[in-house]
This record gives sequence, structure tokens and C-alpha cells, in this order.
Amino acid sequence: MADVDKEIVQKLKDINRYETNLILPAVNNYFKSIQGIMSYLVTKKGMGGVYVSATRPSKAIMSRLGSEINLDDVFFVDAVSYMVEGVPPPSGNVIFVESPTMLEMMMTKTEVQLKKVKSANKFVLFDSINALAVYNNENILSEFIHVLVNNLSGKEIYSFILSVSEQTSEKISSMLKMVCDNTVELGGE
Amino acid sequence: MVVVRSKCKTGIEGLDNILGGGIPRGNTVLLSGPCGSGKTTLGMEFLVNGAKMDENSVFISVTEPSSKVITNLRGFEFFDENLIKKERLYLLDMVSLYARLGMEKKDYKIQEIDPLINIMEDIVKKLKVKRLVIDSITAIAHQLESRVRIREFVFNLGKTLSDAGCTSLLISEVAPTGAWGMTPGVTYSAYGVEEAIADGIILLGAIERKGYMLRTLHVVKMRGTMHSLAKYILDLTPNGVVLVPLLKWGAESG
Ligand SMILES: Nc1ncnc2c1ncn2[C@@H]1O[C@H](COP(=O)(O)OP(=O)(O)OP(=O)(O)O)[C@@H](O)[C@H]1O
Ligand SMILES: [Mg+2]
Repeated sequence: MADVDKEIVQKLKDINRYETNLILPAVNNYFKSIQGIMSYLVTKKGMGGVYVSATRPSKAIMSRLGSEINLDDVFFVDAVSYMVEGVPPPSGNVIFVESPTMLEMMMTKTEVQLKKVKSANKFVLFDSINALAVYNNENILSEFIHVLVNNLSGKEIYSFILSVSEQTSEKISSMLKMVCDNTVELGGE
Repeated sequence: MVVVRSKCKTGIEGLDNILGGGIPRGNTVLLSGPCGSGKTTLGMEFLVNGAKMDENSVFISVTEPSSKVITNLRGFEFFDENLIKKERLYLLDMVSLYARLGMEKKDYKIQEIDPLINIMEDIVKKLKVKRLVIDSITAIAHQLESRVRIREFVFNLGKTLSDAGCTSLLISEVAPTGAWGMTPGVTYSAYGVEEAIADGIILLGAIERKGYMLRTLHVVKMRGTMHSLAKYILDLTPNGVVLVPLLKWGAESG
């Protein structure tokens, strides 16, 4: 755990605004990576931002991160709760997208949530591309990655796109590496 | 020499980008789409943003009383009631229009084109209106009974508004053909004549993807500016309209 945290601090210290960082955690340290990144951005750097969850319901993420990280200035776009639990109860910091196939809506809702962030330094963390591959074919997913990165890099924010290495196809992986500014591989040592 | 026309910024970020900065000033634009596609919301945001930039803006509601219009507006964060108090934003309905004509509703026949145009001209001039939305032109056209009269009405109205330097959105309801969307290039208005006269057409619609509906927007024409011809996804949020490019691999259902 300490190792991943150290690795994250080391690898994220040179990040810049307007750049998109591709994060490729190994499957066995996926959640540790998220914890490490969030704690670095929110606790260490004092940032606020938007967490786009396509992997797990936002409620689950909040309850796991919330004990250590103050999530007051973190707003969620949740594209899985509808799929796994039907109509979710309204929640102050969360906007729900009905289906992970409504890829464009994840971008419009991110825009809405970004407006609520109060901190001067803002981030967007997209979790994750490999989860979207379950519901979307490679063609639309590649196109989405392109539009998403374009959309994020036009903003004065720090952006992170996450995809678990072992669960990302060759085509998607090379697409991600091509359009993102930096690639950060975590773990897998 | 190329003369670049001054633009009326809609204040809707994505739309201004699509339009190369905004709607050329003085244009009369048809804002078409089936019910629930976001016409009224987009029109309102255009006016509210104008009012915030100190441009006098008028909404004419043909089918609903303005009290109902304002109730709906309060649901949006972009709305600021002070704009009405400061006389930047005016919400008018047919009753207030008749009142300006010194008539009671029951005495007035909308089939008379000239008084209606005169009163709109009067409003635009007296209130120094820079932005106007009529919701909807279809409801007026419906009462004019013939295509010739509709054509005459839209043509005269467009000329009057443009001469006054007013940038206008005429909301046009189109019956859905197929699944809530329609085949582009067929018709953009209920009577098929409005679009020929308009300086621009912004078309709202919807597509289906894997059982979910997504709202769309595309600019069919806009005299006086280069513009994108691509289709965009339109999201109606409490902050107003947000647009992102439609992913072409997800444009068809299935
Ligand atoms: N406060 C709000 N926040 C977000 N979305 C809203 C809000 N109020 C309404 N909507 C959405 O806007 C839709 C209606 O949009 P709008 O009235 O602009 O469409 P329209 O094209 O004018 O429809 P009509 O043809 O019925 O007049 C509603 O169906 C709802 O989904
Ligand atoms: Mg309407």
C-alpha cells in the first residue's frame, strides 16, 4: 500500500493543467491506486473535482474513500447505479446517467458538476475505460476516448483517465496512449 | 472584401462554437423540433443570457400564460428574476399582447396579420428589443389558415424584426415521424413554408441508442456565417443546455 502511494506521489508530481494523464493500474492494485490518487489530489494538493464512476456505484466509492478523504468538494457522475440497482435515490453530490451507453451524457454531466467545484485547482478522474468496454463496442469507445480527451484538455483542469491494464484491449490501449499526454503505469512489479 | 457580420452570442457555449461565435445579428431563425426536445429551454437561455449582457429580450408565449412560463423558468439555475424587475427580460403572453392592442381576447381575430405584426414591431421598437423568441410560430400559423397567409406573415415579421436589428428565434413544432426524430431534409415546420423564409434553422431531435433516447441538435442553415453541420448531443440540465459532439458510431440504434 505504502509502495503504491509513494509511486503515485513520485509519478504525479509533474502533472500539469490542460494535460490528460492516462493511469494504468494493475488489476490487483486498482482500488489502492484510486485511493492513492484521490488522497494525493484532495488531501495533499487541496483540489476539488469530479469523479466519473462507470465501474462501481458512487455510493460504494464514497463509503470506501470517505473515511480517509474529505469528499465535500468532490462531485460524482455515476453511470452504473441505474444498471445495478434501478432508479437510485437522489444524492446531493451525485448526478446519475441512466446507462453506460450514454457516453456523451457522461461528458455533459461532468461539465455540470465541474461548475460546482469550489477549489481553485480542479480535477476530473474518469474511472474507467475498461468498465465501459463491457457495454460499448471498440469503435464507439475509441471515438469516445478521442472526444473525451479533446473535451478535457480544453479545460483548465487536471485530468486523469483510468483503465485497468489487463482488462484493456490492445486497440483501446494504443488509442489511449496516443491521445493522452502522459501515461502512468502503476504496480505490476 | 469580406464583411464579417456582427454576431449575437447565444451565451450557450457549445452553440456559439457551432455557429462560429453566435447568430448573425438581425437573423430570423427557426428553432424546430418535436415536443420535449428542448426548444423552449434553449430559447429562454438565449434570452436570459442576452438580458444578462444588457440586451433587452422578449419572450412571447402564444400557447401558455406567462405565469406558467415563469414557474417553469424558476426550475433553472440560469434564470435570475431580477432581470424582469430591471426590465431587461419581458415575458409576454397573448393576453398582454391583446391588451396592448386595446382589445379583449374575445374580440380579436388572429387571422388579421397586419395588427399582429404592427404590435410586434411596436414592442420591438418601444422596448428597444435586441432578442425575441416566439413560442410558437406554429401556434400562430395554425390560426392563419392558409399557406399564403403564413408565408406572408413570416416574411413580413422577419423583415420587420431584422429592420429593427432584432435577432429572433421562432419556435416551430414538428410532428415526429418515426421514432421521435425525423429525416433531415424533409420538413422543419408544420406548414413547410416557414423554413424557406427563415435566415437560419436550428433543428432539435432525438436518436435512440440501445433503448435510451438522446436529444440532438444540429444547425441546418445559418445565413451570414460558417457553421458546423455536425449533429450534437443536447443535454437539458438545471444550468441550461449543454452540447457535446454526437459519437457517430452510436448514431444509429442497436
Ligand atoms: N429544471 C429542469 N432541469 C433539467 N431539465 C428540465 C428542467 N425542466 C424541464 N426539463 C426537461 O426539459 C424537457 C422539456 O423541455 P422544453 O420544454 O424546453 O421542450 P420543448 O421542445 O419546448 O417542448 P414542447 O414542444 O412540449 O413545448 C422536459 O421534458 C424535461 O426533461
Ligand atoms: Mg415548449
